[in-house]
Amino acid sequence: MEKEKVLNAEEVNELVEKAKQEDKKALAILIEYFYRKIYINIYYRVNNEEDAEDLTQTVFIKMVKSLRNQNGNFAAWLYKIASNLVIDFYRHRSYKNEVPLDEQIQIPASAPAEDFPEEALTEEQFKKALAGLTEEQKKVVILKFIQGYKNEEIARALDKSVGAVKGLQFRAIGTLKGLLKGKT
Amino acid sequence: MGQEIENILDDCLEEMKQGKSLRDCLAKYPQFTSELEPMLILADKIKGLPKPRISQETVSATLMEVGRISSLEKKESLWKGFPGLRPMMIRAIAAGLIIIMLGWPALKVSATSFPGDFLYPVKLMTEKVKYMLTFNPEGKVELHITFSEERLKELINTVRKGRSIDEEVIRMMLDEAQRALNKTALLPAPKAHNLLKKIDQLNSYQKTTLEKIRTEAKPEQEWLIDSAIEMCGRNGKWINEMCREDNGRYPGGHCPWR
Repeated sequence: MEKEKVLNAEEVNELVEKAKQEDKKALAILIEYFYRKIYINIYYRVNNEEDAEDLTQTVFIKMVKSLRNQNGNFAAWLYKIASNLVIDFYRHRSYKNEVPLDEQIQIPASAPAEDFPEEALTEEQFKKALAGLTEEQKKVVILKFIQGYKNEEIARALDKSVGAVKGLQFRAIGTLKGLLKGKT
Repeated sequence: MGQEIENILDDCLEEMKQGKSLRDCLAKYPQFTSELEPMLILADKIKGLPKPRISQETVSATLMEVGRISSLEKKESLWKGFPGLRPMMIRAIAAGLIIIMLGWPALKVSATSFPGDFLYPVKLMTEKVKYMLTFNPEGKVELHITFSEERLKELINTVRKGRSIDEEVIRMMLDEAQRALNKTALLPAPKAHNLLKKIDQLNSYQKTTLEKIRTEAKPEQEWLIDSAIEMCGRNGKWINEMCREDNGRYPGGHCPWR
């Protein structure tokens, strides 16, 4: 699995502080570092690449507009902007009768483990099932299984404890298993 | 029990990441096999999904857009002390007054102005009006090319005068070239040929100029110029690709002017 270079919390904070002082190089490094993470996070929650690119760009525009007022965990703040944008995106789309992913699927109450099929999982199936998870579960699944981050890194990015990440991971996989029952 | 299975699932995922098999892991926790097995299989399938590709172009486009917004924000903050008066409004009023007071000669003079000059906003506004009044697609492409060339001239002039490089001018120059290229890609063959040639030549010249300018740029401007050079490089490749894909239009599969 491709794994990107990881900046530690101090390095990120240092860049954020510089960017707040209008250091354009620091701002560019932050954007390049977080672009992929945010894009992937959004990509699996919308229907196509163009929407994911537009929303990712909007995340960074919002970031630069409100960077001066940012406090606390920067990554968690950025993921929060992304999540809110995806929610707004579907809210606006609903006026045009475009159905969000989580309304395109039926969520079964439970799924016995032995029924889980062996066939390959497709991206479309995964995206639809992912829409049935909570925002936090989605983030954990994407960061852990798509982007290959360790629990400690995810905990830092989401401002949570490692134990909470393990709990979210367990519930997310359990729910996905139920949602994908008979679909793969 | 809840926390135990959460930890066990996580242990198994970690061990499988290190290369252990599913069977090995399940053998360690036989009492949880029925619950763990489908979860681990699913996790493995998710890991195996193809990863979305991210083009450097989209990252560069975001960097440019954020840079543009950031510059605008800076300019906007200067006007906070004058509620109700926004720079765009001031420019519009100023341009209107200038046109009324000075008439056509002022517009003519503004055409030779440069960033920082009093009449430069009038020049940009005149360009916008000209663009809005052009309705055919080739005409619009021609205008994008002209505006991009104009920004290049302004950039060269700024450097020659030893002034600091105006990032906004670089962005406008590339934006115009990009728009010209996007619109040309949609035109029918005979109309597109000459325009594509013009864009290609302009793109090469812009790249060369930017490479020269970079040696004189301030360290904090290097990333922008690097992104701009990269964008020119990608545009060049795209033009090449357009020629290759359109073998009928460009016999031999290459751009004949190259």
